Amino acid sequence: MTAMATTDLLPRLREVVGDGGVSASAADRAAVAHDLWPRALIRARQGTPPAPPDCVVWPRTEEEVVGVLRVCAALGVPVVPFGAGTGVCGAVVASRGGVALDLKRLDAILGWDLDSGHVTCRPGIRGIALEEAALERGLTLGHYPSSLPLSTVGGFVATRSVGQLSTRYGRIDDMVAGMRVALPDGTLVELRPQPSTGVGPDLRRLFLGSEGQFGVILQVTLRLHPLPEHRRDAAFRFADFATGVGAIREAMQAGLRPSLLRLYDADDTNLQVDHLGIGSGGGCLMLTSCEGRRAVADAEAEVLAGICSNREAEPLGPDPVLAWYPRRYEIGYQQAKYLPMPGVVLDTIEVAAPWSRIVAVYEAVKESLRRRLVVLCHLSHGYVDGACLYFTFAGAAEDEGGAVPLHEELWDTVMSRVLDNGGTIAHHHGAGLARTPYLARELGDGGVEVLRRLKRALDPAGVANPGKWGLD
Amino acid sequence: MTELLAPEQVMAARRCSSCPKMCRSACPTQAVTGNERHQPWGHARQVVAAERRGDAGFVDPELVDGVYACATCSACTPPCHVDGVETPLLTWAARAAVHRAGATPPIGLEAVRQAQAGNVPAAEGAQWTDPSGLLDELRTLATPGAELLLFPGCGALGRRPQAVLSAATALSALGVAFDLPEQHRCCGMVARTFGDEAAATEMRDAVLAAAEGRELVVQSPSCSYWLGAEPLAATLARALQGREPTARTATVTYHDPCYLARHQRIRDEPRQALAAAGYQVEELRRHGDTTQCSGRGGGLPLTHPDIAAGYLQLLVDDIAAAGADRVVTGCASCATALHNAGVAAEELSEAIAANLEAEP
Repeated sequence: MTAMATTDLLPRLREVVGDGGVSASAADRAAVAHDLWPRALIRARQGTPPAPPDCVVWPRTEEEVVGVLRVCAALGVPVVPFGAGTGVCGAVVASRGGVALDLKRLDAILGWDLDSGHVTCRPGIRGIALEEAALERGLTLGHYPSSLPLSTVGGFVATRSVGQLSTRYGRIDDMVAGMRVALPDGTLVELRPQPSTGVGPDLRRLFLGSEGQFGVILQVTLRLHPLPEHRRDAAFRFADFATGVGAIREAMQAGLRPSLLRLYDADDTNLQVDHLGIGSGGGCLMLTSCEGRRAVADAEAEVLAGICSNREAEPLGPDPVLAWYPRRYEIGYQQAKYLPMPGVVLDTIEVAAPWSRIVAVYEAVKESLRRRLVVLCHLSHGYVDGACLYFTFAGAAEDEGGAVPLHEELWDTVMSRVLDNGGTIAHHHGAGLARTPYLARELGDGGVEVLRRLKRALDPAGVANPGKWGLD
Repeated sequence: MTELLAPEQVMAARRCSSCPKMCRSACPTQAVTGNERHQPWGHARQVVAAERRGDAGFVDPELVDGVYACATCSACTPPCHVDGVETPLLTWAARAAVHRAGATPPIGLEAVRQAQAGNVPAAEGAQWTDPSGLLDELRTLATPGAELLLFPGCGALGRRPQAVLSAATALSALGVAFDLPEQHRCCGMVARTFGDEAAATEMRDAVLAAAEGRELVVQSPSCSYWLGAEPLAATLARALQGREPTARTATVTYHDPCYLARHQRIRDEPRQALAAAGYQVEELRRHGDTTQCSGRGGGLPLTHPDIAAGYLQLLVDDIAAAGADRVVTGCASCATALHNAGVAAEELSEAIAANLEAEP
């Protein structure tokens, strides 16, 4: 930030959001300096977290958001939208300083269109609050990221999140019927809620996953689903990971859409033994739920069971699935226990690949790191043409000084192995700072150039969450 | 490094600040302000940063502000499953470290002084009063030398005298003989709230010593928590048990005070007492473990009146959403705060006494 901007910024922001809507206090700034990006958490442990923004603003209205954007554009001050800070890729790190635009006071539900199954809300509403409001109306968003109790709808859209039941309900991309966005200079873009629209490129997709680089999401209209009448749970044990992968491929290509469809590799299965009560029979655990109208869910579950049976999977009944649901949001507790320890490195990396490459990607990642770290993997979402592999890494460097280099090595290795073997380096955690070094290889020079030109066109002042994706 | 905070609390703060904020949705302060540091994760993060700076870290005004922007309502406790982290013990430990560093907010020090002098909070805000007159009035209903000692507590005595009189009336009507302490002494919870652990312990011990082994029954929920004594709600439930109500007159909606429902897990007893006294009891959306705090605890109305008002509004909104037209709660401070916010609210003893008096 320039000295002039520093001098002018706070008074001008106060004119927009009032005294209580802006803070330059060290504690308020530190609290939004980063999200849950493990690199940042390790650095925070070492006492050197990423530098915070210069101030935080909490707008209460759409007009205030636009006002803040105009001030920042006029002064050339970066502005970084901030939801709940539960991302894991550093997208909210204020790489060039500036203003953290905390959207949590913008949390209203604006209206329901129950005939269409639409709800329109502000970006700062927590996912669980929206889901609870939908449940009161017999509806569900069907979007259950493990951060659901913590994260915001704006964050879902800005990072293109995926939930635990997205194999049936789709990712957030599939749920956004419309949105209103403010471009970095305050220009409003109204994308009216529609079931489908064919006028040129789908501009919704431009802002989905844009991580604050193309504008700020002011409101979103999401598609809802009737609560399922019935759910059929079933767990299976496969002899090995590849056999389970084959079953999921067949199920997806047969047109089945189980809500829950998770396949744990042998190492991850061993970790589930106690709390899912599956005994120590080895193999690879698959958890499934089929839901919807009773007749359809039952039929889907029967076909799925047949596919598993044909691959000699051992049926384990519904109990492991029933044990999984109550713990579905609890992954963070383990992180809290181990992360404060010196040298410890923990992370999760989600990637995807076509069916033809999925086992190769899995084996390459597992093999490349197993000597340094515990490497767990589960297939978390299936598609007609491929799947998401969700890796968990845990280990420790020899000393605290080695933690960041080990974390860097982990990411370099995984990203390379995935690209070398024909996968994509991200499935649903977004890009942020974590994937910036690998973006060019993922998208190619042409792809990056498209992003760069879009960025220049939409954000000529270069103030919208700059410093990410290698665009500036 | 600092010796102001025990090593296990430093580790608890490190773990808490490494958590993905799993209690965020439960924290009323977070709901009111949306400020990332206004949640247990934020307190812990500030404590970790303070500890790095040594003793000086605990006089930092922003740390002090952070650890006091909390009603200690314990809403964060049910969602917290992090080993070695106990909320709000960590917040109290941080406040104690602030106190040892000499940085307790002056309004808190004044509250402790007033409590030590035997005064009670007169109303919302920082007015204090001598409760001796009220206690003298209560003695007309007491049985000198009775085994059971009724300890109203500062909140009930100061903020809702009618609730204390109703407690005495209800106990008398139910044939429960009770005596009163010779003089009012604060149990020390206010000292704990403001980080003066030594004073808190000393004051608690003085109350227990004055009881001379007699059974304490405590009306103010935070006092029964700190004294480890039976809450009045439990006594009333027991006294009413098995009683055939004769005057089923009204439907009430019960609001769980945090210091009863979460800190002491007293949830069934007030409902049983109300039912036995002839009430139909309805529930708010958030009740029991998930009850919405009214913002009266933790010194919040003194240090952060705006945030405390935000808590109360969340509760008022819940009450409006439930369509409740008569609210009963086990806490005199909650009842008065709700009353002042335009809600027809009363403390449990008032509802019980009213129906007992209505009986033929």
